[in-house]
Amino acid sequence: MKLHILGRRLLNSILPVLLAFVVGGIVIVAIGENPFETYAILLEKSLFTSRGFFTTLHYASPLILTGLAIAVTFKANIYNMGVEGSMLLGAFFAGIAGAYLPETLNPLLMQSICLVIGIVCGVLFALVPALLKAYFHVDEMVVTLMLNYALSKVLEFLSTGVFRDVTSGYVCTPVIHENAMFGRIAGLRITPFFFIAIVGFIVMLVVMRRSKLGYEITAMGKNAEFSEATGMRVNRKIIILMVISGVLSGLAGAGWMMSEKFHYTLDFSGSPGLGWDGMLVSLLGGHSPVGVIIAAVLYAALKTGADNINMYSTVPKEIVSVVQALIVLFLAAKFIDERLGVRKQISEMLARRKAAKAGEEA
Amino acid sequence: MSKDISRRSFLGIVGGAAAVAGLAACSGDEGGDAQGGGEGTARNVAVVCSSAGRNDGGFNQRAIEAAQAVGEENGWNVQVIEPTNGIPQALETLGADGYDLVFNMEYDFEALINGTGGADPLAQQFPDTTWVVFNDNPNKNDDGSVKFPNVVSVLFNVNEGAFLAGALSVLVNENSATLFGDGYNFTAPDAGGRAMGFIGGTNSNGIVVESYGFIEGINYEAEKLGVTYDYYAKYDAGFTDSAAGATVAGTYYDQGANIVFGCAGSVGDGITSKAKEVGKLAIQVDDDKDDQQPGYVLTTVLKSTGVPVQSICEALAADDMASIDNEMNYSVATGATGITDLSVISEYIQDTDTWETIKAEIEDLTGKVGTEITVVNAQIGETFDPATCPNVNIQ
Repeated sequence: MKLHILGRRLLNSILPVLLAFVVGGIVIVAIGENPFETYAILLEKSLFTSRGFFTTLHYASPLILTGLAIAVTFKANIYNMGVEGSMLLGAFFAGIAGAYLPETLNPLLMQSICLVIGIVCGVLFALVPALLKAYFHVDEMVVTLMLNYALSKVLEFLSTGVFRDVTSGYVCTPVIHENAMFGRIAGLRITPFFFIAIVGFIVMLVVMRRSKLGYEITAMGKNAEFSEATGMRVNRKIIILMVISGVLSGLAGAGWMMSEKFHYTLDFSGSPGLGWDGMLVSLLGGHSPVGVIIAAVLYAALKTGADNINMYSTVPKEIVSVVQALIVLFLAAKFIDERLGVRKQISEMLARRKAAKAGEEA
Repeated sequence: MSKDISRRSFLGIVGGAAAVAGLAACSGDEGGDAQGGGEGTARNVAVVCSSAGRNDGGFNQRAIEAAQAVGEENGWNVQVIEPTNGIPQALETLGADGYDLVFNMEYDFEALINGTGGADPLAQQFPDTTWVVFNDNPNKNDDGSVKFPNVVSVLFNVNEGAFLAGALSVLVNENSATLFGDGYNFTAPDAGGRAMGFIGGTNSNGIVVESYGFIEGINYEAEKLGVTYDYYAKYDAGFTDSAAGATVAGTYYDQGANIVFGCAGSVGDGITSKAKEVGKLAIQVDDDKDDQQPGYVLTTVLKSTGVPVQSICEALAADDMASIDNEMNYSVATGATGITDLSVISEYIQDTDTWETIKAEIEDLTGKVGTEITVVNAQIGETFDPATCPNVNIQ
């Protein structure tokens, strides 16, 4: 890729963030607080101290995976909204396995089993809409979106009934055994899960950049019918991509369960869920693996920073939600044409306006 | 040409990035100073909110107000926290920052008491912090002894308050025709009006304890009168969707119930507004909300977190934390739980003679509950046997 296109693409990702911070800053001034101080608290403890940075990396781990899960399908113009569901299903059954398999198993074996179960569940959830899309041309966006709600009710039923931890005063599954937990490294918040996420990232980087499949993803994203006409088996590719998405989401859920939550509660995924956050991360990262990892870390820093704003300032932490919402808003606009660049874009715009004016006069 | 542009855009990006980094770095010092200036002899106290949020009008808000009131008197730093990254992370940060007193309003003790992911329990990691938890006592070893001396568990006997509400509901329901005037639309007791509703946020001990107490209260009076009540209950309404509260309450009112007890945060706001719409009654929870829809809120089952928070904060101010027990139980007698004084609903009563006898009966029960009358307390693991309440049909 040519450097100037990369630069413009980068600018297209950075501009929304900067603009969001500027507008957010105006809001902070409006409520009578100091925006510089607020942003310093927001970023300082989550990015510029080593302890905080590792905490941020820990919270970025599931976002990297869900972001990649979105990116791999969105880039091929398959709108898989089911990442949240795959993630939850994977997390739930990884948690069940972690709690019900014997405590005496070798930790490495136990953790591998839990991860595999999470991945299998994630794939199963993604496979339903994939088959419907590939063979019956059912709109995948509707199916995946709606299945999430069905799934969350099913999991609510399972966790309030069959798998409920009766010793706890509220709705949750039993806590997973010690041997299924990913421990902290060197007393920091970071766990082996982060490195699993990085492995996922490297694999996806190779797949999307260097493999035939990666090329096909791009081709499908540009024009699925044309790809079909040139001899690509698009239906099969849809299934493959959804399976990959399911693997990544299931892994994200299982890892999050084993490194942070340790049992399934009704608010396991937070609000908005990790799958939905992954969508923002992927959009922010331009559906490219490198972009996703940077966006995931930034997004996790904002999340961690929100807590710090809460703890170290009098600014309501909702300001972070405002910034996040503004990022989404500004992301919807492509400020810079990736092919033309700023100068040409403006000169073309001026030329067009001139032409229109000339037309009016005539 | 293209080379020229690429250099320019590259410079732009680098410049932009440098500006961001510089901005963060230079103002980083300011933030540090502000934080440093706040430290000194003053105490650091934090209230970590449950998911209902700081403005829930009850459980969290009363605790925050009590802590802030004592904090203001003594010049403390009182921080209110609504965690985005989960309760354990917030507690850990507060512990690491050397907070003296942390109130954890959420039902989430695993990291605090047992430790997760190979980390030591937070209560052990930060022994100089006093941790206060509510609605359960997780701070026990297997033999029942106190596990960490720096953890305080606060329990409310809301089962007793709910019992009083149940008894009151039956007495009011049986006399609804004479007690209330125009503007109400009660289903007559003989025409299917012997029914009560309960809407809970989630199926947890903290919620079902209120429902069981309510059932026993209904049964107590129904048995005396020799009548039978239907009981409709929902335990998964959540704590935020007031529209859903109105819908569910609407179906209960349609089925003949005249009184619905909502125990689900702001879902209750929907229940009370529905009560006003159909001309029936609702019962609120936690903080005195009798005047939310005056005349349509029969009473509130109180759980005043302000009382224990205030006494713990005052102990800290007096440097006398030793006087605080590791398990604090608040019964009806302490005033932290029970039902309201009924002053709001009293203004809408026509037949004051009947009302006075009802109030006298409730007064009498208030003295007996907890001693003569025992009510199942699901919060401490007691189980409820529906067979003990033959005069209530749980639907």
